[in-house]
Amino acid sequence: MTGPSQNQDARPLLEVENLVTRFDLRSGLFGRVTGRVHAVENVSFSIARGETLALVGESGCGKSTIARTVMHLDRPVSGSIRFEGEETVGVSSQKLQSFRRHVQMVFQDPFASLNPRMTIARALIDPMLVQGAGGCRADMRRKAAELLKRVELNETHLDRYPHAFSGGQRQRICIARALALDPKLLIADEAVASLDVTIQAQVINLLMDLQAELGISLLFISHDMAVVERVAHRVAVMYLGEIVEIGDRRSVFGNPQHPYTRKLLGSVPVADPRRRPERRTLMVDEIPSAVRPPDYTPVQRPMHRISDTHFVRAESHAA
Amino acid sequence: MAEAQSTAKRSRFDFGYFGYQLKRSPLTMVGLIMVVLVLIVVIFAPVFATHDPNAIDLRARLAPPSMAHFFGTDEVGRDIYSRILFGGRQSIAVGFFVVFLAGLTGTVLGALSGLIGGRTDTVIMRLMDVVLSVPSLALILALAAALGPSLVNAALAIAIVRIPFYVRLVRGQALIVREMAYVKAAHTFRAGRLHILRWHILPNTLSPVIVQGTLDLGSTILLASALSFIGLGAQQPTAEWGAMVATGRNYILDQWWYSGFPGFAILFTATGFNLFGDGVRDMLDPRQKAR
Repeated sequence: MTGPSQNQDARPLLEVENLVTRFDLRSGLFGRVTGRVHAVENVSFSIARGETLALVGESGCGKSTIARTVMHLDRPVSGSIRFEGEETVGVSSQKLQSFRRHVQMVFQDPFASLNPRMTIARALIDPMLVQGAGGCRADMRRKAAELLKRVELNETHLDRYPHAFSGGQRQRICIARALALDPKLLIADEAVASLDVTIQAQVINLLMDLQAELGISLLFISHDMAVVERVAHRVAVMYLGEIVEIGDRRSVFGNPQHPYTRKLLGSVPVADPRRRPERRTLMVDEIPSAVRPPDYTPVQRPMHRISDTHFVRAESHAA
Repeated sequence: MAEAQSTAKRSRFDFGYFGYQLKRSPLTMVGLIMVVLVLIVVIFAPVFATHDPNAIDLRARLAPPSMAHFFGTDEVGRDIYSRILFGGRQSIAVGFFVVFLAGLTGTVLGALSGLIGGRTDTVIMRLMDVVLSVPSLALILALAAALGPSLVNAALAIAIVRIPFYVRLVRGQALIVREMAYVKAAHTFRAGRLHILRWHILPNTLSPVIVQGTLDLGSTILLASALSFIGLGAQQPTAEWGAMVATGRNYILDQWWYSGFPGFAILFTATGFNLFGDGVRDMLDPRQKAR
């Protein structure tokens, strides 16, 4: 695994600070706000160039909302998202346009991610067409062929329809499509969760190779600790909209501080019975709801420093 | 099982699969043959016709079917067989015109409604509810009477009444497609609404529209004939099936062929389109087959 390459710029590529995203729940005749989903609560992290940050946690803990907010698909309540040092929250949509090119996303379900009525070539050309960034048709097609090669698929597949491909192949096509605009940051939202384990490994290796080749940064969202241990340089553990522990992979996996992190790690199956820990605190209870009354003010808990690269949130509620 | 497999593997319009389905469904095949037959006969009416459809021959008034006049003649001696061939052009043209107009308008409105949502959606859908809340035949009659009796106005009236069905169909489909990950992916690279409408929503809503259109053809032809029958459609001396049945009614006891043959032409065409339409629906939506 290659370490984070801090070549040209010491500044992180993406800096997220005190990000808050909430969704209003309305009900009744006049659509009064009767509650809020505190999906993302005071989240801060940064991603360096060429680095992979993994965001882990159970479903419903706000991982995907962070991705969607960073993509500006959801509007944050407050906080700042800086890309290459430039603020992107609250700027004009024209300015956003160029930023969006640099951040692309791969979704969880490879079967729903490709339009069944578009050939692979057309799907790969689509982002270039929208952004007006491909030159003439022939150029775009050539670029599409290159992209396919990049994700280790044959360019003879260009004129086929998505139904002719397996889940793993489709996910690679999705990655190719995300690369069409030469992004600097790729967000993989549970991108391997719905694939077979062997295919998962292929796709993960592909992502890591691409990262080594192109120097792109990855925000890797997953609930699977085993996968995360393989791809991540740094890991952020999320619980109920908050990051409860963040640090480099070795520290988080080797020296987990927060009880929730320990529980997550405890849920990874271990093949060798002799290496299985004596007592594992398995998670049996459901994750508490993030829905709060409208007048709720979130509790601010400080982060404790464990080492230079490892921070943990103070506990107050039982995680 | 094998069938589900082939459905999943089918792209745009696979003629091999279409042929395979046709073979499995004899009624659809019959419907297709009937439709093709009618279309050929009507398109090449000048070739098949034995007489000028509007030529009056007072020596041969109300003549029974014979070798000279296959389906007999009417009260001024016009050849009914030739009039049916040319009259079919009117009826079938109305059918296609109505389906095209209603289908296009309905698809655009439905897609906009589903994609944009909010107030646009509410306005469009409530408008459609208004149209739907009036019994369709009464509305068609009122519209056709208000616009003035002519075949084009009758067609417009039918089209207006058919629009809501397409709007609902496409809106429902658009709501499903809108939430698909590939539309979200298009949002991530900043595709505009028009782009998403053109490239993602429309291509994925088209097959139910085609089915609905095929099914509508038969009933539209029937309706247009009915309007002509009561005098709100085609006007004399234009040959039109419904109008012919209407005039022939006066002679029905002695000259059965006058109303009988145009009536049969309507029956044949409407049955053909309905059988074919049902078959197409089953082909494009195998889940409904169990009904």
